[in-house]
Formats: sequence, C-alpha cells, structure tokens
Amino acid sequence: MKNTGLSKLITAGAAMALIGVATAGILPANASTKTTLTVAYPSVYAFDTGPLAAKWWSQVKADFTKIYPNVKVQYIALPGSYQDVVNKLSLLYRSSSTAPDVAEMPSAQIGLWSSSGYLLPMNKYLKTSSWFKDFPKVIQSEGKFNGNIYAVNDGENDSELMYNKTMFKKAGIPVPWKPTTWQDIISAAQKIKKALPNVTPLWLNAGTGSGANGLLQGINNFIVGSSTPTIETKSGKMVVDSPGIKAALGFYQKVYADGLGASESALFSPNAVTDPLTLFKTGKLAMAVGSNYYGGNWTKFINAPYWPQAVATMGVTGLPNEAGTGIASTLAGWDLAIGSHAPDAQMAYNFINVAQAPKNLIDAANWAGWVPPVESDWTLPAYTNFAPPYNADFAKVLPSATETPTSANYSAWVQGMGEATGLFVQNPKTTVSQALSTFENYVTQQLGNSAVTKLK
Amino acid sequence: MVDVLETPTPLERPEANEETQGKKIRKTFSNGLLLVFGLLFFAPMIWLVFASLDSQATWAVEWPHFTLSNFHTVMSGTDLQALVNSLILAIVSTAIATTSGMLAAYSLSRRRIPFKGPLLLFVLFTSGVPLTILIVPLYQLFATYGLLSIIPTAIFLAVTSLPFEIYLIKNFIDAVPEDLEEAARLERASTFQVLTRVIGPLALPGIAAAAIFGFVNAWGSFIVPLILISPSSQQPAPVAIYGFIGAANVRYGDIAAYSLIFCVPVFILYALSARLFREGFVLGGAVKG
Amino acid sequence: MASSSVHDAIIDPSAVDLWKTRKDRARFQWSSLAMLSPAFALLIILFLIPVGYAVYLGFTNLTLVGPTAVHWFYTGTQNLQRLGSDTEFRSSLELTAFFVIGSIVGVLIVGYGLASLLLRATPWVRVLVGGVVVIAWMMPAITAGMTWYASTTAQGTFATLIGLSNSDFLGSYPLLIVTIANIWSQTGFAMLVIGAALRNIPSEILEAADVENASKFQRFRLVVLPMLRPTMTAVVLLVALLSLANFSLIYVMTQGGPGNATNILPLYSYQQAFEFNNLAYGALIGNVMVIIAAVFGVLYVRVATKRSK
Repeated sequence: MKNTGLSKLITAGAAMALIGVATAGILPANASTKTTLTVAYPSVYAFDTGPLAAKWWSQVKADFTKIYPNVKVQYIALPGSYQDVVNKLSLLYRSSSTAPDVAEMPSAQIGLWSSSGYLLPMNKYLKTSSWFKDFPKVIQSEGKFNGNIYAVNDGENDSELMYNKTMFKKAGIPVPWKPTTWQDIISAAQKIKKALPNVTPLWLNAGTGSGANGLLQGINNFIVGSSTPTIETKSGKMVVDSPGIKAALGFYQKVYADGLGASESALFSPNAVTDPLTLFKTGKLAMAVGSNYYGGNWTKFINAPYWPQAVATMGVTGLPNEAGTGIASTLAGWDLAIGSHAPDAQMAYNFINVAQAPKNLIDAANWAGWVPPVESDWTLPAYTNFAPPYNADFAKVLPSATETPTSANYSAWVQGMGEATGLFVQNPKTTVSQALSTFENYVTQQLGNSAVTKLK
Repeated sequence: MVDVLETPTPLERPEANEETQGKKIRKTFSNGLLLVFGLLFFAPMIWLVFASLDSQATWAVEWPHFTLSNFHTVMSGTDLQALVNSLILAIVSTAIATTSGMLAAYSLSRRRIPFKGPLLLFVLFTSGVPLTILIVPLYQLFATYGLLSIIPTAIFLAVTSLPFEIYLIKNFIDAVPEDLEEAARLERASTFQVLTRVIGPLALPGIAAAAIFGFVNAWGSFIVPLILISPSSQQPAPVAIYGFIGAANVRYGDIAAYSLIFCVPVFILYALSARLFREGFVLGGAVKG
Repeated sequence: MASSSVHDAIIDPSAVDLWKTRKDRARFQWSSLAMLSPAFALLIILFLIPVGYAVYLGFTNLTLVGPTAVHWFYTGTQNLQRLGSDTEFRSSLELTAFFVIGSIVGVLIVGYGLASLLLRATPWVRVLVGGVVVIAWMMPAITAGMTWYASTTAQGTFATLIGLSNSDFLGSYPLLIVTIANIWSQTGFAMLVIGAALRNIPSEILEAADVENASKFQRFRLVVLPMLRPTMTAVVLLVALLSLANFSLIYVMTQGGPGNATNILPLYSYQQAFEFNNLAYGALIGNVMVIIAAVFGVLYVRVATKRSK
C-alpha cells in the first residue's frame, strides 16, 4: 500500500484524539485546594424565566463568595420541567459522589427524599437562624418529618380568585366582589354568562394535562376548604372518597354542566395552568381560580405577558371555604435542603443562610412569582410594590393555606382526580357519582386496597 | 434523492402519439396528486413559520404581528451553545455508529458467523427496550466512572442507532453481487480495500441512509442528554427548547423560532444527500432481505 | 469461488484456513470477529448490560425515591401478578396495538404511493414534495410534537383551515391524531427506501409485463409487489419498532392524555417509573415491550427468509 507512513500517522493521531476525548470526562477538571460546594437548582422551571433564575443564583453566589472566599460554589443546573427536575435530582441523589450539597426542590418531594435518607436534618443550624422564626407555623413545618427539619422554604404559591372588575360591573355584580360561599361563585359565573356570552365565565383547572399543578390551582382548593380536607391520612393512606371530595366534585359538576367553564381544548392543553394570564389580557375570561404569580407576570419586568391595564382591570379575592366561614387555599413551594453526605454541612447551611438573606428572598419572590416565607416581608414595599395589589393580597392568604401531600402515592391520586375532573369537561352530563367511581377505581387499582381509605 | 434515474422511455411506436397523450394526462394527474400531498404534509409546519415571526405568539395559528425579535432572542449565548452541542453530539454519534455499523454489516452479510441468525434477532429486539427504563442503570454506570458529559453520551446515542443501522446497511450490502468482490480479491485487494473501493461506493445509498438515520436520531434526542449530561453548558438544543416552557409562562414564539433554526442543519443534510441518492443503483438486482 | 487455498494463501493471508479446506460453504475467518467487534463491544457494554439490568429490575421493588430506593430487593413474581390484574396495562396494550398497526398501514400506503408517484413526476415537483416529506421525517420529535399540537388543537391550523375554529381534533380523537402525526413523521424514510427499491426493478421486467398486456393492477400484484417484498418487510419492521418505542412525540402532544387515551406502553412505563415512583414496575412494562419487539423480529425473519421464487 502506498503512503503507509501518512496513513499510520493519521490513525495514530485519531487514536490519541479519541483517547484524549475519552479521558477528559474521567479525569477531574482541575485539582484545587479550595473546598467545593455543589448546589443544584431548576434552571428554567422554578423562576418565571431562565435568565431571571440565572441572575438570582449568580447574585447569591456573589454574596456568598464575598463572605467565604475560600469556598468554590459549583452550580448544577437542572433543566426541563417539573418532572424532569424531580427525576434528575432523584438520580443525582442516588450516589454520594453526585449528590448535591445544597438543592432547591419542590416542597412536595421533601418527604420522599428525606425518607430515602438523602437529606440532612437542619434543626441544630436553624437554632441560630434569624429568619426561620419569622416563618408562619404552617411553612415551618413544611420540611418537618418526624421532628426533623429537612428543608426550609424560600418561596410559596397559593391561590385566590382573580376577576375582571369591568366585566363584573357590566354583569351587575357588585365590585369589589366578596364571595362567601361556593354558590356565590356559581351565581356570579351565571350572571357573566348571561351578560357576556362571548367570554368564558370561570377558569377552573380540570383534566390530566396540567398534572399536580393543575390540581393545586384547581380542585384541591375546594377539597382543603371542605368539611373533610384530608387527602392523605396521618398513616399515609390516600383518601378516595369523602364528603369533601364529593362536595368539590359537585362544584365542578355544576360549573361544567351549566357551561360556565372553559373549552376542552383550552383546559387539556399541557400549559393550561398559565393560559388565564393571556386570556385575561385579551378579554376572553371573566374570572379564574388563580395563583399568586399572575400579578408579577403582568408587569413589564417579567413580561409574560405584559399587561399594563392589569391593576386597573383585575380584582382579587380569597376563595371561600365550603362552610362559608373563611378562606381556603392550597400551599406548595420551593425549598432548600442539605444533602446527607455533604462533606461540610456547616458550609452548606451557610450558603442557605446567604440565599435566605432579606434582599435575596424578596428578589426570589418577585422574580419567581412566590410569596416570601418571612412574614415581615409581606408588608415591605420592595415586595408589595412589585405587583400591587396582588402580592400583598396573596400573602395574607398564606397562614391559612393547607400544605400539599407529600407521599409517593400522591401522584396516582393526582392522575385519578385529573381524570375525574376531566370527565365533567368532556361530557357535561357526567354525574358526581360517575366521576367519583372513576376516580376511586383508578386510584385503588394503582395503589392497592391497603393504601387507600374512605372518610365518612 | 428525489432526482431519480429517468424512467426508460418506451420503444418508439407509431401509436406513440395517443400513448404520449395518455402519459401526459397521467403525469399531470400524478403531479397534481403529489402537490396535494405536499401541501398536506406542509400544513402542520405553517404554525412554525407564523409563530416564529409573531411577537405575541400563542399555540393558535393567527396572522403574525411581524417581528424578528424571536429569532434574535434565541440566537443568544446559551441557546446558540446548545445548537453547537447538538452538532457535536450528532456528528460524533453518527461517525461512530456508521463506521462500526458498516463493519458489522459487512461481516454479517459476507462472512460465516456462528449463530448469525440468533445474533441478528438479538440485535433487533434489544432495540425494543424503552429508553426511559434504560436510563436508570445507564446513569448509574456513567456516574460511577465520571462519564456524565457530552462525548460519552454521544457514544451511547451511537449505540441506540446501531441496531437499525446494521440492518439497513446489511440489506444494501446483500444486494451487491459477490462476483465484484471476488474480482477485487483476485487483484490482491485486502479487505480494507474491498470495503472502500467496491462495497462502499455500491452500497453508498444505504450507508448514507443509515448515517442520516443515525444523525437524525441523535439530533432529536431529548431524554438521553437531559439525564446523562451533567454540565448545563453541554446540553443540546432539545433541552434548550424545554427551557422556553416555564412554570408560569410559555414562550411560543421563541419555541417556533428556535425549532426552525434547529431544522436547518437537518435540511442541509437532506440537500447534500439528495445528490447521493440520485446515483441510485448502478447495478440491477432488488434489495434482498 | 474457484480459488484454491494455496492461491488464497499467497494473495490474502487472512483467508488461509489450512485446517478447513471445504469450499462448499464460506469459511469462518477470525477477521470477521475483528470487524464485528467495535459494534458488538459497544452494544454489549453500553446496551446489553444495562438492558439486562433493566430486565432484572422488573422483578424487584426498586423505587425512584423513598426507603426502597436505597434498600431494594428481588421480589420474584409480585410485579407480574400486579401486571396480570392491571386494567390500565391492558388498556395500554390495546392503545399500543392500534397505534403501531395504524402507523404501519399508514406508512406503507402513503410511502408507497408517494414513492411511485414521485417516479413519474416532473423534477421540480419531485424536489418540492419529496423535500417536504423528508423534512417532516427529519424534524426532531419535540418540534414535530409541538407543531402537531398547535395544528390540531382548537384555533390551530387544521381547525382554522376547515373553518370550524373551535373544534379540538386533538382532544376529541387523540389516539387517531397522534397516529396520523406518527405516520407523518415516519413516511419520509419509507418513501426513500421504497423509492430506491422501485428504481431497482429492472425496466425489462416491467416492459415484459406491458408487452403481455398485463393490467396496471396485475402488473403491480405479480411483478412489482414480489420484488418489493423484502423492502416492504424491512419498512414494516422499522416502523413497528420505532412506533413501539415512540415516547417523545406523544409525550409532547398529549402526555398520554386526555385521561389515559393515548397512554401507549412507553408512556405508561414512564408514568409508572417516574411519575408514580414505581421504577421496578415501569421496568417490567419495558420487559413486555421487549417481548413484543422480539415477536416482530421473529415474524420479520420468518417472512424475510421465505425466498421469493
């Protein structure tokens, strides 16, 4: 063969390149005498936008490095949506070499990860914390399991009713609107339907498309406000039948049988949960069971979408509970936790401490559409003026909100409830007992008889 | 590819006039039918074009509020990096899969291998395992050896294309008559030369098809890089697209614009390979099973 | 193959096998193993071992998180028993059957139709239409999914084109729509391969049929189809396996919904493993998918080795 020399050289070069590329992944990047702190966070899902998330986390890193210059912070970005973030973190935690020292996680997962032994109790560090005692009790216990506090909250979401004041006035409903019973909501929706036939009266999340988030900003608000708010019993069983569930399903039945809700395609879209933001702006929606991030999204800063007339047009009021004695809301948020194998747990806590500094908490609240967990922040102008009047209003609801269930079986419950609520949308003639039996059968089938229970 | 060898013209006959009339009608009919099909295939893509140019894009198809800002936004730092990462992933993966696939296909086609039948079958049905399940043991494997980065992931993506590529290439190599190889060997050709001078050129459409398949497979891969690539600076484009779907809002315009840009390299690949498929088969003989 | 072994020894040392001088069948050569090894080394290390492990997982109680994420163990046939009484699984099987078979039929018909029409088309039509179809094939699943979602939901492209802007095709006929979307995304490749095979049919044979005054349909049935059979079988196999494993397209379009209307096996397996935390049970569903793929594989080999006369 001709040119054997040249071809040999090329082959050798290729082989070396291949080996180099292969080992690049295996050898450590650079050996350094600094300690490294690994921090994992959702790169696009938790904050309102990816760039805002990056901005906040680099702000925290800068603050931290000023105080602890000998510690290197290595960020692990968790891309994708809620399920992707959860999956990635679950995989990262499986081996101590990849487990992050600090992680931002959804509140619903804390129980699961702590029961796997992945998280470190923080009780002793929190004793010296200046901010933890300012959390309302319900938020303090968010990360508490068996007396150990495994995670601390850095932002919460809750729900209230958002309504279009102009449309309400046109329909003859007195504004500011203060419904005290579930029937009040139905009556208002019926009035809207009569006066403004081209507008969807009420946005009420239904169907499986929006997953747990859809329930959080949907039917769960009614279940936790009912006479039997329990979804998961203390012994870990999921409730598949109760007066509260029946009542909540009954509310859904009335809404969809009377044609007071949105269309099937709108509700079943995977991004249904955020569609009301646009629908309100384009004047196609009269009221919604909405969440606290609505206000911030309409500001120019967040621009998702920017609606300058939002404040003048939209009103907000608490969701009444079934008995008519007060307001109800669900509660879920994002928390920070320390990995159980963190080589320097104290330093990990120091990082959390910096992240929870007042300015950082307020920025996080504004940029992620959260209510800050520290009660005294709720009246700070930096927070309230970011998205008036919504931020202040949603904060007031927080102390009476009910936390989301945290067991692994909750996902099957979510799917079943999604199916049940979806039935009303697909066929408005569906009865409550039909929906209930579909829900009950599905969940019992998935979890087994010993994991479910009924309440009287 | 679409440019095919000219269909042979019929022998000249006096009745040709009437025949060519019939042929013309048939040709117009086929053209018409094809255009209808083409439109049907294009229809879903309309949204992509409209939404990418719309400053207030939603999932609905509506006349856009014209702007190029979406394209502007998505050609920024991290998203651009993601496109480059996709290129790296796809090129490395395709190179590995096609080279090793071609060697294996030749071997399976020409040589006597014990247990060839069961071996082929085995290769086939292992491709039935859902990727989402495979991810977990694979993740643990990669994590243990510190391989959670872009190149090892590209190697794994090559493996996911390998079964199909082997089958594809083998089918095309089967169609190459053995006499040509015999002749080459008589002329003192080594196996390497047989591969590059005889088999390669003749089976090229098949090899190209397999390579394109491998490229597209790696190019569109989402779950695999999401889980197996740790540094976010090495994440490829499909993961970046998910970045436009936030918890509180969805940036449809950006999704559409980015997707269009994302399709460009694939389109270039098609344009380049169209030439290749034009060659078609120089020899007769149908593709053997 | 009339070369003697001595001749071989002079020309190609690797072909020498002095101990086996039979010439009625190909000799086994060690270089064959060398050529097989890169592909099979990759397959064994990065595929077979994880697959074997995943298969084993199907018989354990591993979860993604929780106590059994760390302390898990072999549970024998427990998961199998659960599978037997799982109505959701049965429904998923039916949905998968519809999806896979529908895709195969659709791709074959449309792929063949396009391939044969393209043969006779004028060049610019060929480039345009062929191009669009191939681009549809090359589009990554996430883009294809988004595009089809936007096109088939209310106020989407199809609804608006027909004039019934509020009809939600995707919500009303989810399984049908995702099957059509799958056909749309897979036809390009079938068209390419069938087109190549059609071009391969020697023109003499086609003309012979014409001379015998065979009707169009007879020509198709007796000449074209048998010659295309190997290609068609290969296409069937490919579409079957790709559709069986199709996760991303449907996930982006419907996440398996509404309800569980499009929850085919790969999605159900993902749902069990990652959303419901039952990694082991999800792996078992994956094992079922492997068996189905194996059945297709066996059928393919049977059909493909039946030599045409």
